[in-house]
Amino acid sequence: MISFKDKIILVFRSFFLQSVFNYQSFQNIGFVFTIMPFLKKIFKDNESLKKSVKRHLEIFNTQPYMVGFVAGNVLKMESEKKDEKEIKNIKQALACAYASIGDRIFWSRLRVIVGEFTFFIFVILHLCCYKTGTVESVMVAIFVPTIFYSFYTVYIRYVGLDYSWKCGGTRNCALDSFNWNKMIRMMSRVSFFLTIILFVMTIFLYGFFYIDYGSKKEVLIYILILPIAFYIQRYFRRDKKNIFYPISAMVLISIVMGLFL
Amino acid sequence: MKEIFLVILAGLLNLDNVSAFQFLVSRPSFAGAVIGYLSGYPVQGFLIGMLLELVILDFTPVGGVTIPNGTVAVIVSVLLLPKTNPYLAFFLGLIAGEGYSYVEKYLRGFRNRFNSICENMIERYDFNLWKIIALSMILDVIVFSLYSLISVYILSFFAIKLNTDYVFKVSQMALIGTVFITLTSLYFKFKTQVGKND
Repeated sequence: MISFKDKIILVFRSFFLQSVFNYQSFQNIGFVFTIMPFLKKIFKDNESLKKSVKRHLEIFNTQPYMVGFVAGNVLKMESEKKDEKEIKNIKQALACAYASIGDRIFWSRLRVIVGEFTFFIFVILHLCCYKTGTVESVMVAIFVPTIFYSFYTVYIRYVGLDYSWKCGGTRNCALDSFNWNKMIRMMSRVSFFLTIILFVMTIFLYGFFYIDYGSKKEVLIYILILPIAFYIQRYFRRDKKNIFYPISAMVLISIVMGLFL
Repeated sequence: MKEIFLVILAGLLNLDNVSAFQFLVSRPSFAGAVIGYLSGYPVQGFLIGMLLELVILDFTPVGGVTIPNGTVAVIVSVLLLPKTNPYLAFFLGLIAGEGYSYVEKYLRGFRNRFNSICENMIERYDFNLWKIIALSMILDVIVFSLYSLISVYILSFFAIKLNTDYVFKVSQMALIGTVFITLTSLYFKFKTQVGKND
């Protein structure tokens, strides 16, 4: 059986999954490090422990927050002394599946939502609550979304371990523990909505702080920056170029526009 | 001396990026605010970090891909603040951040050696992997700190040389344009995602 203490230790060790991230075997050392205390419990003699550790030192790569979903399953199979080949196959299949889900939830959406919330909190505290000092607004803005995000990721690591331990040994283990598709859809909508608000808010702040001041020529140039930025982003993104292309183009255009100011 | 302390602190925060925890304390807005607070520019540090974060958010770190490092970008920008205007500091930081993605790629290749070290340890029935984990993280902090420090010294030269009214206006316009480019990019990214979902 896996105790509460074991789970806490496994979750804590999973924080270091990517510490030795390398191109040869990706997160292999981190994964072995994560499950090592429990492997030691399963394999009492050094020889069988060594054999098991060597098996797990093969290529491993998944989304770091989702490692619990793989680790719990692997440990359950190891504790039931399942066939080595089966353990390897299920481990790789689940690592790929959870990497795809985790990347879409955390890296593509939640990370952006956290960034956008940081900006909103700062703007709201700074502009609406005059009593709040700027430094205090900054501190609240950075800490609040980070704390929520951190708790959520620890929760996912823990719950993943819990679910996958219960259904360990099956290829689709814990894949139905959450309605992932619904979650991804919802996060896409939230991100989209927040981006629109952020866009509107930035245009408002820009108009308020920049465009109102200066000569007519300056005002005209500052207004022109918006459609120029929009156009060059669309131009370069058509060819799937990374964001440094439109930024470099913007710098070049600014060098030319600077001559007229 | 203070610069060295701040660079090491940023190196420790940077561990959160890939090596440990992933609590997002290495994201530019967070690191920028903390480093800015300690160096006397809390608000500027946060704002530069926030804008750098908008650029970095355009990249997705999937499948071992190295993306521009926001923590390097923000530490370099903040340390350049006393020498130049914040707009130029932003762009110089961004260059340093992009440069670090190549260093990170090299580091990941270098860490392949840890595989054979680990195998040798296991052969000797030494299962204490903390040693390798700690060694790898120390290496990370050292490389990060050295890279940031060298970048600050090299870019300071350009920052001082380019500290003119013309460059101020150009970098200000370019930064405003960059903000709208990143926002447009985010807007179309999520519009496509929502469209696909429906």
